[in-house]
Amino acid sequence: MRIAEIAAGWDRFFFSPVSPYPVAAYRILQGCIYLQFALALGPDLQVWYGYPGIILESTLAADGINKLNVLSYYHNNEWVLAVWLILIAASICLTIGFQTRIASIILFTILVTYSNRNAYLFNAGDTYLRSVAFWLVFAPSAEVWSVDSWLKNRKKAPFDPLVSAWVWRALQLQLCFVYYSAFYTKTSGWYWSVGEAVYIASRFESLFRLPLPFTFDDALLASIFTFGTLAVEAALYTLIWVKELRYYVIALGTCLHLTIDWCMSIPMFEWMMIVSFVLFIDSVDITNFVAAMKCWLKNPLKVLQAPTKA
Amino acid sequence: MEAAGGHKLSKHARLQETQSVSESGFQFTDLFFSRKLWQRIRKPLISTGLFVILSTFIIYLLLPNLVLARLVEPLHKFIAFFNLAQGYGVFAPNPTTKNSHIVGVVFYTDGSSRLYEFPRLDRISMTNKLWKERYRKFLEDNIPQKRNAHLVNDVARFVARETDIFPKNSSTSNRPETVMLLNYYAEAPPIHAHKHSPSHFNMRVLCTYSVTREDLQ
Repeated sequence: MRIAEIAAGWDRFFFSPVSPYPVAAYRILQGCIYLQFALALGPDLQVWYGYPGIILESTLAADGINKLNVLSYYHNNEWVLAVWLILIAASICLTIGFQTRIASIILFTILVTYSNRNAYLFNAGDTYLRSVAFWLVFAPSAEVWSVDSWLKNRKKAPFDPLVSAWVWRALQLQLCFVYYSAFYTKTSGWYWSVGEAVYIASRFESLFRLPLPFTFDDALLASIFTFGTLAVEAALYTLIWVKELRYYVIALGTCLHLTIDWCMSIPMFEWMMIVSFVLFIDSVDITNFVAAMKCWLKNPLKVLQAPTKA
Repeated sequence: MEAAGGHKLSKHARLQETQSVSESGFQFTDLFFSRKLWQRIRKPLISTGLFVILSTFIIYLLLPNLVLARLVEPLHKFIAFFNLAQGYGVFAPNPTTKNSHIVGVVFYTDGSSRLYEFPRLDRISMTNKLWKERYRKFLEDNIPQKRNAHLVNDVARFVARETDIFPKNSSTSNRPETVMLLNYYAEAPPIHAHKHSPSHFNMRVLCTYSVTREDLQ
């Protein structure tokens, strides 16, 4: 392999002109997740981030590391509330694609602030949300399906339906990092190696949500689900890149997350992973799906009757 | 003549550029570079940024590793400032085998005591779990950990403020004097036992904190 070939491969992978639809669809779906994140923080906002709050700012500042924290600009609870309201507004703006770039910068800044002010209430899903917000700052996510693009086209500005691939690729890689890490860190665990991890997780009372028709008390069933989880997680950062297998892997991943969502109450996490699969869906399939939905919404009965007429 | 012509040409080019900017709308990069310059440096600049950031993320995923930690040391401040450290160990390396909860016991100056209970996720409705999940992460996953021992006194101060039933600056002397944080827990039964999960019968004291007047302000 020559350096020129590697450079050409890099160029093809990151800088090919691609359709803006996958990133736009991702922006809308992830925007809804950000909104849910913000709303869920609301009832106990002052407990986590207020002054003095459950953890004092001085305790966290003891490590001496400089961290982005806009909450520290004004030490009062009104400012804490204002920042939260700005987060909600930014989430809505990102979802509808209004002043998208500014909204994504604000969103990223506040998410980083929250994690720097009190990281002890956040899980791996929140780390993913923060990383995604970082990439969305650079994303051409408002080229289609946004108020920004609607305003731009109304003024008859030229419209280019192709965008550079690099942020889309970065978002895809970010998703793969999650599954790589989830898989790799589990492989050193005793319960994962003996096939009992799913049983142990099912005994976590605080996360229990709804019962399944079976229990994981059966060792064989627990093993199948434990190793099955590892296999699906491994496929979600490897086989998902193989075009012929991609949709099967996404289907398996969706089943995994829906099962976890049924049994366990981990708000947002499963859904933020499921919506992220849109990054791997072909733009033609996304636009076809949206066109079919539009058609169905216009006249649901007509679509249902169509096969009968044929 | 040439210089004048050149000046005219550059003016014309600038006009064209301005027109193209106004036609294709404002771009964030216009703040820093001309469109022409941006087109020239775009790929090398983005490629360098992508390579550095993605490599750093990958290295963070491979930590702990002494050599790799040294490698990302120059970027550590940037990563810490934006809290972009990567790590997605969900139920890893092992799912926790402990079911636990924390309660606060508050002793007042007149000798009376009161139990302060945080929201318990195993005892609330599914809808409430949407809003209260952060308590589980904070109190069950993080606070009982030895590495987070420096946070325990803050939680005790919080309990003291929450249980201070008298108004601020009140002259009454019956205020919270001591707060104890107790961690109750039980291990999940082994798979072959086929038993229900036991109640949280084990207990350990996380801290005994003497409350000061300043804590209650």
